[in-house]
Amino acid sequence: MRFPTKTASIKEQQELADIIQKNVKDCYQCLKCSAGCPLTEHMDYYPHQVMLLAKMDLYEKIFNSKTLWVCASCLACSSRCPRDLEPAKVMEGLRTMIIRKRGEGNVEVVNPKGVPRQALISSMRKLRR
Amino acid sequence: MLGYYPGCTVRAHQNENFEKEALAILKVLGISVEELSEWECCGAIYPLTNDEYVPLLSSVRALKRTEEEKKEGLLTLCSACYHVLKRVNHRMNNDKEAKRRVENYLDDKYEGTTKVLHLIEVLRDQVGYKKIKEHVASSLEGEKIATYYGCLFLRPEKEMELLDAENPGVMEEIVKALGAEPVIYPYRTDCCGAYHASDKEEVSNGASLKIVMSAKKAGATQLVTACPLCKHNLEHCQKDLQDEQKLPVHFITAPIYEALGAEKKADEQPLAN
Repeated sequence: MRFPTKTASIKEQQELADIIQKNVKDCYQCLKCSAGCPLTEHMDYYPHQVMLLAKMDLYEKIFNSKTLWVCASCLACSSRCPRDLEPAKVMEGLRTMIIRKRGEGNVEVVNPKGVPRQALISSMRKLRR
Repeated sequence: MLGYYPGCTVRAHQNENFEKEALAILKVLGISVEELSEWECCGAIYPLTNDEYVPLLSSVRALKRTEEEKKEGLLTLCSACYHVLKRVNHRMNNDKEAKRRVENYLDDKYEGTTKVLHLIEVLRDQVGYKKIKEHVASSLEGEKIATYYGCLFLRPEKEMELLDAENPGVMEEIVKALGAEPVIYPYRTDCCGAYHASDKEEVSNGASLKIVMSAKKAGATQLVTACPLCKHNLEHCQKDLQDEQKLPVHFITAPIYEALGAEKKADEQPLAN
């Protein structure tokens, strides 16, 4: 893997820290998050890889990944994280940074017919706002 | 008297009888509930961002109303409502900054006395398995029921504090009390794909089908859950299967309602509200 040199600015790092109130640098890569994640087959980076990239300030890579939009916030990773870093929260923080910048998410609700409203409200709140 | 919070999805899908069955069961088991005089959607999902306070407001209103109407607790049927209300309650009681901002916005105080309860929790703590067993009119002997918990009901463990998130056993105990056999299978606490039902169907279908197949392999004749969204996903993922391959999915209230003969008993007296 070739590492890019463009790292997140101090402002971006501060923004993430403000949103999640956690220090991603505390992650010690135990892989518990990825081991328990039920949706990894649809992801390009596994949750622990997102944590590693966040730790190395390589936000750009995460912003361009599919993983952020596949995470369903089921909290299996957050509940099991031995460092209490809540990977689902980190994902939400990074997703929120994109959404706030663009003013919209990158996901369209394509099939709203017959879907329980709980799913519609959740996906609007998580992915579009 | 418990305050009752139906939530948007349960109320909107009345044809699935979750609410009707739950109220009838509670009536038979001697738990009195009354719907809050006014409520709105809890927000469907708890915001994981620390710097947003608006998504907390509607839940705080429901918690506050429970307090005002002097109810002993706030009962929910839906796992998601339970998750959101309980976590918002936790945050209001533990995060001074959030409490200050929310109260400023609402221009009102929330004392923090409301206790959020789930139907399963009430059945476990206020009714008890023994009493359920005593009320069984027709035992479900021979039924093999797989229980599915899903994610919002259990996690995060340190805030929900209802069940052991890795090995919950409450629904199994209830199923046992009804005379049926609980089926233990590997994915009963895994996520069903949740809200991806509305945007990435292949994600939620894949996750749900894994759960259904594993329950079927373990010998289940039906699957029960307490979440309207899980039920939708678990049913929807089977749409391409042959009829004989399908595993029926019900709310946890359905087998209880059937075993207690609640329909007959409920007819004798009108339900609450």
